[in-house]
Amino acid sequence: MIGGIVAGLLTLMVFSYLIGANPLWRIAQSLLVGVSVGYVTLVVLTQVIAPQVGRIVQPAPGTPASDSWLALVPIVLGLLLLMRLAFPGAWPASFGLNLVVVVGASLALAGALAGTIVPQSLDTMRLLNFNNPAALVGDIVLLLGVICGLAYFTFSAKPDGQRHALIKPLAGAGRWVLILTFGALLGSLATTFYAALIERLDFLSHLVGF
Amino acid sequence: MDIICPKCGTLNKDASRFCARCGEDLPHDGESAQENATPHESARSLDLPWLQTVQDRAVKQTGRLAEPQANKTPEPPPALSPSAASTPAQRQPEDVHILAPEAALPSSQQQEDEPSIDADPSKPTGDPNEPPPGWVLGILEPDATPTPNPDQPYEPEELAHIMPWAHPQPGTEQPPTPEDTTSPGLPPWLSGVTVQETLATSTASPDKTVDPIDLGIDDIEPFMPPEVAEQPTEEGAADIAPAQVPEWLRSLSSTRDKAEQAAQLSSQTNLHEVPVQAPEPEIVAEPVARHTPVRPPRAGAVETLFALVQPLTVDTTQPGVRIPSTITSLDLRAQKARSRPLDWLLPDGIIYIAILAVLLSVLLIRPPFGDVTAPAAPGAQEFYSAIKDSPSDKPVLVVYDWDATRSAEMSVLSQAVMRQLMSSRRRFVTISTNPQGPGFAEQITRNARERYGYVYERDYLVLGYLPGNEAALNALVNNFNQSLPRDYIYNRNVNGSRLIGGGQLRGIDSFGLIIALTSEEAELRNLIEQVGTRTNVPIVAAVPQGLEPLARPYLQVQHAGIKAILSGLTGALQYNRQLDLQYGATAQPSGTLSLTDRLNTQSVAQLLLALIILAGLVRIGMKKILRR
Repeated sequence: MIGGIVAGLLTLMVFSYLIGANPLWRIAQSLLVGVSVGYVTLVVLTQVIAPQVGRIVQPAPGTPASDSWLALVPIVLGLLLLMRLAFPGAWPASFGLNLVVVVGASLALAGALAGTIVPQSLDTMRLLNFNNPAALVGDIVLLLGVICGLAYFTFSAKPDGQRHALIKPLAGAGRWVLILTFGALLGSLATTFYAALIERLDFLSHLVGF
Repeated sequence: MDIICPKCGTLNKDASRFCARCGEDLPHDGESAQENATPHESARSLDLPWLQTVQDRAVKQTGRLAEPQANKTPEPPPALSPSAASTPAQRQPEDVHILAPEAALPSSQQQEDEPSIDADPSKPTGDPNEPPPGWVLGILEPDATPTPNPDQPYEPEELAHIMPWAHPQPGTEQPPTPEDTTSPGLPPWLSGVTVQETLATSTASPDKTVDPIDLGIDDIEPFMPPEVAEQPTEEGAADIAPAQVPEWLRSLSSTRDKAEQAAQLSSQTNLHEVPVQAPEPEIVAEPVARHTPVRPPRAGAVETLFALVQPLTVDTTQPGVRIPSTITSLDLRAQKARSRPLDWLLPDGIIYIAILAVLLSVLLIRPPFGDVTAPAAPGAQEFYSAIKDSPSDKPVLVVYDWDATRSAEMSVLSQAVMRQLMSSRRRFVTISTNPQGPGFAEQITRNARERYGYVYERDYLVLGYLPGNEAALNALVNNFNQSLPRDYIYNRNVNGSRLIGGGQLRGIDSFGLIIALTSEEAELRNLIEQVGTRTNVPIVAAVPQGLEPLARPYLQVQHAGIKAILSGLTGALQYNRQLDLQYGATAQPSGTLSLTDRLNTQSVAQLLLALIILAGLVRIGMKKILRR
């Protein structure tokens, strides 16, 4: 009951932003940020750091000694990362962060190539199915949309500042393709936001007693 | 033929002019009769006209050189030789004063004087009874009336006007001034000028008698820059300056001397006076006026600036009046608060109120829009089929990657997925790469397990948060057991559970299906790129309505794609319909809005928003038409 009332009050405080920034809205915003950060910190401590320390302090029976020493590595890197507070420019303090960034970037690159770029490129080059008119139209629209969209991002121009005669109409069409795409995305996002608003209004109405 | 020095008797060469031993002038042919060469003759060998003139006057004055001048024609003075060059110290005072009047006098008068000096070479010179020239009489007898020079073309009155310092007005009695006695032929402003001095000297005091012979050169010390001390003090600077600064420079710095000099200059009315600008007593630095071209202001800039600094007055008749956020003056803020309700109302406030009113009315009143009777969408059917057709002996991996911002849609989708899994008695394990995911996983599974009799650690596990994004998913594929060794609810080692223990789950390939409940495009893409490309386990996704356009390109892509996509409340409704058909309809919890009502409300809100957008477009179009 109390939780419901507090949730209702916080919801109304957030809705007060409709009339402009006010202290109530700022209080709700601060509470959200603070609770989110505290919750995430607690999850990280209990789900990430504590088990890692436990592997060193109290390893599971049967685990080799090398596993304990290996578990010490991320803890040392984490402690080095904390040194950035005192020594921002020292390289040992950023060693762990650099390692994470480099490894993450390499994995992301490999995954992007294997999971997005190559498969999407192959999927774009579809064979036209003349037996199914709907699929045929869809494939043609897909092909033209990809070509026009890529043509829009060719910013090279001749000395007179104009694009090539063949690129110019494709770039114009690609601009409209992008406009329609972003419009569809915005419309979908509006649907998501409406769903959230309706759910909150339903909660408030039931809280009030309707 | 060698020449014998008359002084020391040294034998010198014929071409020598001076003795190599003693430096005595050597007599040459034609000069042997005149061992003591007169300066006059030596001067003639020089090329200095002024020196020749001085020498001639000296000869005339002293009568020293008694030589016939008849045979001698006036020659240009020869060049100066080192021996004959007279140093400034040795120069006769008459020479100086001879030069000064010549410099002051016009050239015509100077030319008249020159013939008078060199006139009549046949006239014998050196007569002791010859009266001295007039200028000597002026020096010796200043009170005497100067004899009129028959050669002088000017009348006394004219001379008095031309040279008042030398020729007073006839009939006027002017006591001789010290300046007049010292240099009768010179104007007062040239009385103290010497050859060495280039600037005016300090004025002579009334008691000081200026010696015309004294050039004042000895008193002039060579200018030495003052020594700069490490810590110069005012006293030190004051002590140094007077000792080293010469008089002529000291007078320059004295404004009083300059004022007196200016007063002396002002008394002169001679046309031949050299204009000397009197220095001002105080040097005032005038501000430099620079006239730089100023670009005219842009059109409307002045009016805009004026309007910004003026207190705002809200005009309610003009819609869309907004106060710029950059204005922070207190007065404007106060007026902003007073006129804020009206500003907010038009037009944003009306739109907000309209949407809220419509939504609340639909939620509360629940108009009879009717129920959705259309068949399930192909996407919902494929999603259902993917879960149904997965190996029943293998558990399902459910990825909870959504947060509270998308809980309105994702909670409904997650409940529907849990409903099918639990209804079909499928074991499942939940993980999260989002920190908020384990909490929602635990909440939804706890609400559903009681209905279907699921037991934790036997039928399902909530493994918790997996940090690291791409690296975490890569580690999950490589070593699933070590990635999440403990569960989220009880924080116990999962190896001891019946679901994972006993070697049932050796890796990611031990799962029969991966269900991605993601609310962000990056999380879905990471899952596809890091897990989907490295395993043959099929992936299905349940996403919000806004994420569907971004997730659809991965649909049905070979080797790296998802099998089915379920999006938004519409997909959840259709998916639940399919479940109702399969497993029977479930009772809706009391106090909650049904999916149908939510969709109806959402549809009305979307329709209202579309009408508002159309109205705005029409208004813009009408404005453009009327403007034309």
